[in-house]
Amino acid sequence: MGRFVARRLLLLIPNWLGVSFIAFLLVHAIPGGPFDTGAIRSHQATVNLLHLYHLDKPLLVQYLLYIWQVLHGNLGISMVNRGLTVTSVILGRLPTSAELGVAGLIVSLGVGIPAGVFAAYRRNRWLDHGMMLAATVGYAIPNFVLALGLILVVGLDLHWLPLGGWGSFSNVPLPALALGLPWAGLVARMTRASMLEALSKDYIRTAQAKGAGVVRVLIRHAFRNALIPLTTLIALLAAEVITGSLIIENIFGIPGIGHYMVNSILGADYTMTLGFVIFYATVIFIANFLVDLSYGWIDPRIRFE
Amino acid sequence: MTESASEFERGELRAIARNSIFDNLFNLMDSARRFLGPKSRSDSRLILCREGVHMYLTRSAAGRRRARVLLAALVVGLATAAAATASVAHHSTAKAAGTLRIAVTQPPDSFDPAVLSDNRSIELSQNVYDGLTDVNSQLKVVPAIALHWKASHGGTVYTFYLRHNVRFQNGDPVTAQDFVYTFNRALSPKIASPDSFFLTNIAGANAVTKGKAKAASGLKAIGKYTLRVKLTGPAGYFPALVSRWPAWVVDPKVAKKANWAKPGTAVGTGAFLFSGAVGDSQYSFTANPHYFGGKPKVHKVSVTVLPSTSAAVARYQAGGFDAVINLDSAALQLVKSSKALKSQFHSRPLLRTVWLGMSYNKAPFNKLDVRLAFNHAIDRAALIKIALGGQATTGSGWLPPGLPGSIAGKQKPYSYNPSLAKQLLSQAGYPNGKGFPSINLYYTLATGEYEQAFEFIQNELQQNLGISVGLKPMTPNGFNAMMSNPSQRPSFYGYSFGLDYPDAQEQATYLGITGAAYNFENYADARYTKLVNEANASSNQAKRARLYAASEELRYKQAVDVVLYYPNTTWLVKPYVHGFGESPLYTKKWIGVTVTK
Repeated sequence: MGRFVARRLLLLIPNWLGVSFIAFLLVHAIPGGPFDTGAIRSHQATVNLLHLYHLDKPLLVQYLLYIWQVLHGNLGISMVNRGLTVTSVILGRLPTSAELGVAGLIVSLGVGIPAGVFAAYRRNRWLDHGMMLAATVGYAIPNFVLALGLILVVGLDLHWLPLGGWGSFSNVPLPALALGLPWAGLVARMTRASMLEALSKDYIRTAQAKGAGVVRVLIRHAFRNALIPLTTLIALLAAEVITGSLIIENIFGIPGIGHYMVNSILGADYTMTLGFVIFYATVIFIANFLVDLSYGWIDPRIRFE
Repeated sequence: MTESASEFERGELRAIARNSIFDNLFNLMDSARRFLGPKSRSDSRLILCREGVHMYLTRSAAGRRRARVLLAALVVGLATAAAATASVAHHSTAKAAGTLRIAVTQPPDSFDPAVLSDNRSIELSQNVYDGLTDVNSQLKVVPAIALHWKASHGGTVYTFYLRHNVRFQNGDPVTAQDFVYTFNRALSPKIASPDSFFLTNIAGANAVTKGKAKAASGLKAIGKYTLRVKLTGPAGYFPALVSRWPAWVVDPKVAKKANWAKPGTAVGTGAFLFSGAVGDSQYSFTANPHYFGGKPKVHKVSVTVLPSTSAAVARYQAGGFDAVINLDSAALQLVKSSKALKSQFHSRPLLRTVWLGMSYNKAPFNKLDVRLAFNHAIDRAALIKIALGGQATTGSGWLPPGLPGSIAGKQKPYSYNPSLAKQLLSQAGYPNGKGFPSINLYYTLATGEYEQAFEFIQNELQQNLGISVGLKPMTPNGFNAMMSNPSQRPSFYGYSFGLDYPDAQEQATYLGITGAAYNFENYADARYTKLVNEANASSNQAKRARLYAASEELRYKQAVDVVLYYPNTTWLVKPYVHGFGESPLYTKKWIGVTVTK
């Protein structure tokens, strides 16, 4: 177990290197650098700017210098918003994006899992069909469409919740629903499928024969086994929900990481874009790592080697 | 007409929404509600495949048709709505008396005068810092920290006499030595100011930017309140240059520290203190009661950065903002649909020109007749009406109107005359466009209006001259990189330039004269260059304006560019706010703003 954890953590380093190198090459491949703003500038001012950010050096040297800086825990200064360090932007906006992400995840799991379990329990009945219809529709509707629908109905028609902004609890439900509900559809369908498979196993019949109650059979016997394929989905979903709230953040005017990143790419802000990529890669890597660890807890038959 | 959050009723908001793109959405939601009502749901069945999301609705043929229609409507309607996501209103925020709340779309890049360079930073920071001089909204150079100044030694030495009562916001007195420090700091390669060219007329400045000297030899503090600046040559526009951001004075005690230009530590001399920031989306400024120009009438200004101005307009309507600047096309649509908004809408010309550039020394544009033909083939008035919602002035001279030396307004725009254009093109050897090389029009896709403008031009050239033009939209940075590389530079392109300071010297010198770094047309005429150089050197402002006007006439007669239009800047402001608005360069400073509510 300890060796497994150590090995996986060590793997993070080549992952970082690979991801950052590819991202580094990609951002430099986009035509136009961060200082091609079209503003009048003296030649010497351009030279000084390029020098300050090492952009006057060969690409490989730039990359090595960048990595050296990152290894010292410094993601650099934005090339476009020169008053901001990359770390400060990520850390400053992370809590907001994470709050929204966690709220969205609670919605997708809180709605999706019970729905999937019930649908499997009431298989081929009216409840099952109704839920799966809702799940499919939910999953098929893009989150920005759902967001607008929620704003119009809950915000404008019913006046129940504020239409946007961030900072108080009442700001959370609408974006969280918009972000989480489409994924809830996917979670519900996966849960149902996995539950149906588990419910058809011999040990379920055995449990039922022993006289175990419905809830006990569903939760202790079937659901725990059904969780294994779900766990992968949930972890990937966590990364997806936390990092993928770009449009939702824009619609609701939430100052998170998402829309900043797109602006950075468009403005050829190399340091900022690379900082975001490294951050996202880390989040996804950690999510996967936690999934691997959780397998052993959920299913003791799985051994780490 | 005043309007407040309480008066702003749901019906009104809905009416506005109904008038806009949201119409689709409301209708759609109603149909969706009907469609998905309990009656219709019971007879629908759903079969799910584990691998994918296949849905079969076993319903009547009519039902299927309805479903298809609804689906199509849903896609179309929601796509339009999504495109205008931002039109969604936000709830109003509480309003405290004496505060001004402004919405902008771009976050400022920095609050360090030597580092900042984007419009938003300039418009915010100009309230926090001051220079020796200032530019008023009539584009005159007026005293700021320097009470007066004089040119001597044939215009190569400027002496600025500072006010004695100016203090930094932390209480430190402002002296001539502080300006010496500020200028040298802005020139230093360690700071790498993008706009150091404002100060490179100073003798010895180039040695500092190259890192060969710590201080420019031309800068000298004489006593506490006199600054003497020796220039490399006569420059009648120097007083305008020292009104710009790299010359805004900073406190040496503060600016020596890294990362000082933050709320709480940023120190200027201005009417407002930079007092707070929430991430990079909300900035606040509080009045400086000790400001040398008098106490500001508003005590707090908050600036909110929103992803689009149409989102800001909705919040503005609900009473959440007092002013919104630089409206995008969606926001202009919202304004059109509301009587109240129309009365609070303002626009004015900017010191900016939008033109089509043509390679002056390369075929086919090296022929005057071709350039004239292009000028006569485009209906500028229709272009402004169709593609720009009327928010621009028809272009004639290359320098924008309002600038001393500009001939715009005095010289008529080239007439829209397709038959003359055709005749000119035929004189040039391309009857009906025959034999004209295939050309592409390169431009940067800054806004939606732009795209439409270039499509319009493409159509005009095809219809009136028989020339087919390929459109090549590019990202701003990609476009600028291409333009600055002579080997990649296209021979036909759309370009836009706005002045940084109100002097023709900037545009004429950096974009006009032979060999200038931004002379992308490769326009070369010794007469033009001579006129501009002579105007630059003179310190007689009337004579300078005459010389620039003569250079402009020459450029106009040679039809160097197709000057399309001079764009407007637009803003919304509530009737209880006075003195807020745009000047031809930037927004006006907040010192003159009063809020009577």
